Amino acid sequence: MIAVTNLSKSFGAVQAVQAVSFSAPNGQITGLLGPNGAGKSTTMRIIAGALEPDEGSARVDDVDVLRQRIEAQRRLGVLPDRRGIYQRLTSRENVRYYGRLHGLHGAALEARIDELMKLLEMEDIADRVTEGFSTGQKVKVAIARALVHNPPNVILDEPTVGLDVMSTRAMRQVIRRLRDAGHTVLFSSHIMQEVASLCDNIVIIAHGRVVAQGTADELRHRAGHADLEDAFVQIIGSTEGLE
Amino acid sequence: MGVNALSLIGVIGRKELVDNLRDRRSVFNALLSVLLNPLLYIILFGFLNRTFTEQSEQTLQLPVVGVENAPNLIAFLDQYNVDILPPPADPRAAVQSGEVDLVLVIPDAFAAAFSRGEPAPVELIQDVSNQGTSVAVQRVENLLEQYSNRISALRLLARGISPAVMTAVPVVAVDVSPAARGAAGTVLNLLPIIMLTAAFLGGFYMVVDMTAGERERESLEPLLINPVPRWAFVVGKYLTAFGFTLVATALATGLFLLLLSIPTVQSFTSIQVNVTGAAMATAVGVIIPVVFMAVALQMLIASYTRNVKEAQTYTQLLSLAGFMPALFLAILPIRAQPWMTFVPTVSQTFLINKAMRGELLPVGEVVTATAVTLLVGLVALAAAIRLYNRERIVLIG
Repeated sequence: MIAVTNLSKSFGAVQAVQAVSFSAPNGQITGLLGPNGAGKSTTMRIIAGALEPDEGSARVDDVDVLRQRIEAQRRLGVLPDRRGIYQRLTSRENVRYYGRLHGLHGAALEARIDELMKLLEMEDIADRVTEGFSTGQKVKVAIARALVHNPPNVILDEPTVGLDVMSTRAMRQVIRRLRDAGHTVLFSSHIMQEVASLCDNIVIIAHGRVVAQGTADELRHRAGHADLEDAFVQIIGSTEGLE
Repeated sequence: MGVNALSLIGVIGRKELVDNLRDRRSVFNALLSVLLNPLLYIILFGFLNRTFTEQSEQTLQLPVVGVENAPNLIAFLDQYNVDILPPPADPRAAVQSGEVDLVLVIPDAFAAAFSRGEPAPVELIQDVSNQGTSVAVQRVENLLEQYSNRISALRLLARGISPAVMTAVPVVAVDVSPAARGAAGTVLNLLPIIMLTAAFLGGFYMVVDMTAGERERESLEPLLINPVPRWAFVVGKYLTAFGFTLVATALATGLFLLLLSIPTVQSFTSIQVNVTGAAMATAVGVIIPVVFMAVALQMLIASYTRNVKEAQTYTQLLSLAGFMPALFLAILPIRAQPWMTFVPTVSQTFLINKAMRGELLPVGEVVTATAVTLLVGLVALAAAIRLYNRERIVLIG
């Protein structure tokens, strides 16, 4: 469970996030939908403990990120917007490093890495040095290392950006599996169709503010449109920065 | 409960070591830049010293005008390894043009004045602006002075006066340097430069790569959101760079002294150096705090700067500042002053020079120099950790 309350953050004169509140319940996929620059990444970076909010709080399983950053981070697996991996290490070594940072080691860690390589269908690239990997292969490594400690809460910032059709389908499958395994999944996207097809719970964010949130049915009802994408456009007020 | 911070530092340090050692080209470049110095210095210095030695030992070619005016003087010169040559047509022009190094002119009046017991001047035509001839000029001047003194002494004796009356205040030079030094001593003055260069350049690429480089490749933010205290990242990365730099510095020191001890090198350079293992160990021991400080300062700079390029520029400036004092101290005759003990790199330069001369290092100076240097390093490291604890670290660049 991830909950943010009244989150505000500005960079100089730019107000990136203003009084954002929402929660992502256990065992559900919560989608943050919004155009580019709406404040999705900033919100996620605050939850992950990379940035500090000017106001408000973020909690992971009721642990305050600001007050107990490391405790909260133990319960989180994050695919951030910046997802560079180590090019001189193999996929397995990249994942193993993060596993060790989470205190895993030995046979248990190796077994977990094998499990992830299988889940993400990356066994063929497991022992290759990651230099020269395609975007899709790199994202797989970044997701594997985010999940190595089997975190109850998973944050994915635009996980399908830059992926081809097949990789996108595979990624959505992984997200569903995580939900089915009981994880809390919070993911962001500017692709309406993706959010509509995947999410149990949708938070629409524009200009740093939450403009609507609820299930797909609730949003359709609220906007008075039978089609979910029409409802999104109606709520946000424009299609700029959306797909 | 949480993971032991020490084991986390181990995990981080080990990953950085593996990751960076796989970057063969960078490791090679780093070692090359550090190990090339001893080689270059020895070759350069060796050539200089060899030229100098050869010039002072080889037969001197001396064109003389008026050989027939002073057969006695000519015989004397001949005895001291001087080849008497016929003079060029225009001696002044020949020296000016560099055709010959110098010309001795014995005037026709010489014989008459000499036999009357009066001062009988000779001329030594030389070009002071031509530095290549200074050794030859010096040699001829010394020989002529020797000859003059000898004749004067004989004349005094002939008059029943002791030649000792000519020397009212004899000066006796007493050399108190612990070992006979000369060229060997001068070449050892280069050791602090080599060691400081290695301390400031050995790990610089690695430090920039693991800080500014990691940010530029966008792997810093994912790393920092792991449940690890930020200081552990700084310390883990730091220890790897420190270890690598230390090894590079020891290698450069070892290479320099090893090269100087090879008989072929010794005979080529005409430099005989005898450094004991203890002296070398002392020099390396003295430099360890400098390596500690240099790497910490580089960490701080590379963590603060916006990108790799900027980080490289500023850490390179730091390197320059790091080994400049040693360079000046090797060239300029500056004596150690008490306040210099408090200046990192300057204090170590003096201490290493002392160790190379086989002197016992004063404990107080070693302790002060080490403490001050370590303190600067610790402050830099603490400042780097502060930077990592602020969100600026993931925002810049």
